[in-house]
Amino acid sequence: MKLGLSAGYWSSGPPAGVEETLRAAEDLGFDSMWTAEAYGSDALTPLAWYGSKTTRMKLGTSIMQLSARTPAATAMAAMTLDHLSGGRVILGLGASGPQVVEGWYGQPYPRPLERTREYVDIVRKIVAREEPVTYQGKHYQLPYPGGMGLGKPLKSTIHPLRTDIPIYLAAEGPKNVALAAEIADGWLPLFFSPKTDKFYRDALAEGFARPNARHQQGDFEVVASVPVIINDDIEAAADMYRPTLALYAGGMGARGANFHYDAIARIGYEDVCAKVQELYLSGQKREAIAAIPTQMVEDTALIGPIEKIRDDLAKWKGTVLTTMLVGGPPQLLEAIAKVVL
Amino acid sequence: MSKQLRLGYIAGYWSSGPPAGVEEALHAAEDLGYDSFWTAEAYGSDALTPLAWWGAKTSRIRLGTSVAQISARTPAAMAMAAITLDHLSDGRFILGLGASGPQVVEGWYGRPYQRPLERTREYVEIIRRIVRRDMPVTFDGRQYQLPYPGGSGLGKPLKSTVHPLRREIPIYLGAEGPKNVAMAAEIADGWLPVFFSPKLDHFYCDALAEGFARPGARHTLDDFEIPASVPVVIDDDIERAADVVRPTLALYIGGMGARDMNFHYEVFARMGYEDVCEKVQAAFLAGRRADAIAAIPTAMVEDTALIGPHAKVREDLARWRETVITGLLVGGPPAFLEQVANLVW
Repeated sequence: MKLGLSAGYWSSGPPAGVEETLRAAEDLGFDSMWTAEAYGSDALTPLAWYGSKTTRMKLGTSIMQLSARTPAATAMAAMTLDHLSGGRVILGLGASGPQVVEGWYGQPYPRPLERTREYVDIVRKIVAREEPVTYQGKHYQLPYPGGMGLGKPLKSTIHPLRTDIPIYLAAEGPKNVALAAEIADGWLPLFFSPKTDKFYRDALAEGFARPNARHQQGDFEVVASVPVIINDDIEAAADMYRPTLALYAGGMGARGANFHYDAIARIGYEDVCAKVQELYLSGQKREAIAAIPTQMVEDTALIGPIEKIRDDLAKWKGTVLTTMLVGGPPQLLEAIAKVVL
Repeated sequence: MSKQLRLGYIAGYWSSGPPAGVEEALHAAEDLGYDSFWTAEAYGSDALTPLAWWGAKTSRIRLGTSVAQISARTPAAMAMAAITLDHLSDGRFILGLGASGPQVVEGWYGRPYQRPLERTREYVEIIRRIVRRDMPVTFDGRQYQLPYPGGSGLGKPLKSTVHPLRREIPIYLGAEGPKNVAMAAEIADGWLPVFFSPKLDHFYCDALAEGFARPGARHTLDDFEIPASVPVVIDDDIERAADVVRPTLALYIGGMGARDMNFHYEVFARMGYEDVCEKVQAAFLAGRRADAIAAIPTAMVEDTALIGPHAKVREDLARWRETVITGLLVGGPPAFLEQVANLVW
């Protein structure tokens, strides 16, 4: 199991101590660092800013939102950062949800799988740089049909450092996971649990079996954020993570269109999720948090005394995961590196 | 009375790969007292990641895009990058935006090009609202609507999770035509001219004055920034110096933009070189690049660039100081940046 440092997206401002954490992670043998975006900080500028202070770790987005930028803008940033970092970029992409895509980016959300497939296709064509890029998709057309009619098929002025920059997809539903296995080089799960390993293995296998799939399970990366909370008091440790689960199951995404709800329910918590969402959406945030059972935290995170975490890790090492993403201060990273690596 | 010009170091966009020596030049620029550092984008390297990568190694110099293309990213994505980079750089970010042209916008980004001024105005307004973070953002423009009308109908007006370091991040506009220049004066905090010439100073002054006079204008000429990218070639042989700049002018006049919609062409025509422009474009579009380059007269280079021996450049600079520009943006190795600093200051 490899380790990645998750720098995530910011809450109200830039997190403190990122540079020290980065240095520690690199020294400890972490394989990668990752930034994200929601509707505050962007994923690319911190990845470049912090990434310029690293020399070895891979630099990934986990994730960048498809609807934020045109495929060409994403391809340009990927190629540019790949050059700057000496070939260390991993482009992690995700569809996000309708609230953000339509509310914040002002773009239509429907048919996210089809949109993802087309977007990835265009990014790959631009990066491969074999010819001026044209594209006739259902969501994306190059050149734009209509407009002034002056659009010109173009080929990137810069040559890529690597003609095939790795692209990972964030996915929660089985169809989207299968799509990642088919068209991407890695999958970025959310709320992965050893309990859902079999479910996702099947979804991945379906994607690997499709014609033109790029990978098999053996050379496919699965990179998941796994919260690690070291505390001799298991309940106290669980309390740290309950609010996050409550927020994602209850408040991230609309009722009936919350993919996190589905991913968590799939672990065996349909009833809990229904209750948490009900509470959360009716403004009873504290009750929603209290409704998260400790077992649910243990199914999606590593919590408790370090010895327990070491034991629990065995379950995670047997899954499809290839990299665990963790965040925290240097001492925590060191403790995690000791038990994982 | 001649004013003190600020200096900026411009790394621009890349040709086929990353330029060598930017880090060293940037260090030199910062040490020499250069005030700003600029990246750009066309359809190769992007403007933001190099600005962040290199900017992370600076401590004082302002970090700007000159320009980031409006159609590349949604207004929210642009605002997020601006807020983020402004935090990372401790309030040193300048967001330079430009509409680019229809070939790139429709061909590369797959977006419609029509009504670029209206689009720019709406884009800037959305960014300012997001950055100010006074309330969840909604917008009902002709080109942008938040939330998206239609779709799944689940769009939610949102407010940035991150609080801005500065509620007003400076926005400059790349502009060439008079209407666009007037709009920069009206809605932006600075103007990024392309192929500025002292010959056109009066023309631009009028356009700017029109913008400053509009209701709601944010600035007057006194607190408005105009950093101009100006080629500087120091060489005792003026013709040889002009030869360095000629290919760029030929490319922009002849090949950057469609035949009937090339804003660079219009700038030079406005300077009095309509005939030259026609000839250059005809040669360029017919594939006769060498002829297009040869057709650029030395006087035309001298109108938009500082070329020749040291003493001549110093003298020519006097004309530039009397114009509306507030700074010069130049690119080159450390020794060159030092030479320019010695000439300008």
